[in-house]
Amino acid sequence: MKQHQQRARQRARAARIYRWVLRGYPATHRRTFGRQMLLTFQDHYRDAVESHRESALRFWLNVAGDVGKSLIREHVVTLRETLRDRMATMKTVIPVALTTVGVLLLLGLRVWLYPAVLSAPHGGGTAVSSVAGMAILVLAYAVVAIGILRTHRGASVAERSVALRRAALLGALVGGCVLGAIAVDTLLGPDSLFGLGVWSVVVLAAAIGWGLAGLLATRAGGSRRLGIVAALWSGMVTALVGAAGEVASTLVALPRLAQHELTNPDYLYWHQPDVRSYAIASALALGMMGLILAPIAASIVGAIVSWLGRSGGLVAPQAETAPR
Amino acid sequence: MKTTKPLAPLTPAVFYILLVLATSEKHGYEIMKQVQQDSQGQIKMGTGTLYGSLKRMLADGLIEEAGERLDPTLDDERRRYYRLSELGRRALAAELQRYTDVVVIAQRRRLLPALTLELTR
Repeated sequence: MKQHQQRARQRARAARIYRWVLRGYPATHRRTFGRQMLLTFQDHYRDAVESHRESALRFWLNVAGDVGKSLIREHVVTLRETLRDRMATMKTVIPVALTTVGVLLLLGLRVWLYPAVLSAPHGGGTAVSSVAGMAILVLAYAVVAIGILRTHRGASVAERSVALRRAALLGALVGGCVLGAIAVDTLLGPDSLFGLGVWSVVVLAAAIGWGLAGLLATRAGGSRRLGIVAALWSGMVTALVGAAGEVASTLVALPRLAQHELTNPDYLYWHQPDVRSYAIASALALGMMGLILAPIAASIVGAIVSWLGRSGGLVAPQAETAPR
Repeated sequence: MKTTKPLAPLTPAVFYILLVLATSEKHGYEIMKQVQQDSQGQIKMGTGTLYGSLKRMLADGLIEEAGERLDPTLDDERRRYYRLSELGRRALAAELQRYTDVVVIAQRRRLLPALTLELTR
């Protein structure tokens, strides 16, 4: 009995030491396997030391060797996984960062080339509100994008990165169509029939592109949430490309835009003295509208498509996986 | 995320763990002990090495968790059991076939004169 109690005390002491050693392992490994490792250690101790198959010294030397090797290996594996996840995230962040900076630089260039836009009236307000509004919206986009990338619910980092890269590509393609529509409006004027036809095609392309981004993400990750996020991401990329296009049109074709404004009933109503500032502010206001409406529309399309994708049998219902 | 790599040759530790789990579900210490017995002491895994291997085998889809339950031969703590997955079963079969093929070649070249085991494909 006394011997049994002594053995139990020694086993408990050994377990305390090993519990302290387990703190050296990476947190995720400890959370997943820590308790089982402790139980296995206790089983091993009981079998080896208490049954006198091994001396305590030999046992602890073997444990030290095992801990030394496995601890280093697990930290290297964890570090590699963290770096891989960060690289995957960076590949998605860099295009967004570059586009955001690009739009802000274009905006800055526009204002620098024509500073009168900052003091000119626009409609019932001032043109500076369009300038400031677009800058604020673009910065808000960057914050939302970082928030999306840092959230890890519902899909692994790898699945999320692939879904967002695909969505960005589709969003950029739709953005290309938007640029085409902006070019047509710039050349022919905003009221041309051809321009209206082109915008109709753009709306259709947007629905298809954002919907496809959402559907592909839902199918790949099995998650409705990922589908909506992918569609939103696609819409955000389209809006950024469109905003860049609007600002670029004021840099490349300001005289033409100003000409179109001369027949604009709103411009005529407000009797604005500076038609160029008005044209710049109008273009920026259109860009702002895109920045606000595109993500909302894309999210709605993404939600519908993801729901249809899951309930319509295009995605297996058991594919809703827990994060790793 | 489960990998879809082809059935590449297994490391000795992974092979023996699959071999141990081929017949029944086992918990960590049972796996450790049986691997040492099956390999005749050549593969000695400590707790850290064992669970590192189990973690990677779970990630590769070779094994699955089979729930937690009591081991009547031990104390009253619930231990996590593991079992072979379908992919693990195929990987083990492929590895055993590789070994069999090698033994057949060795027999043909009379490198194993004492072996009397009939091996059929």
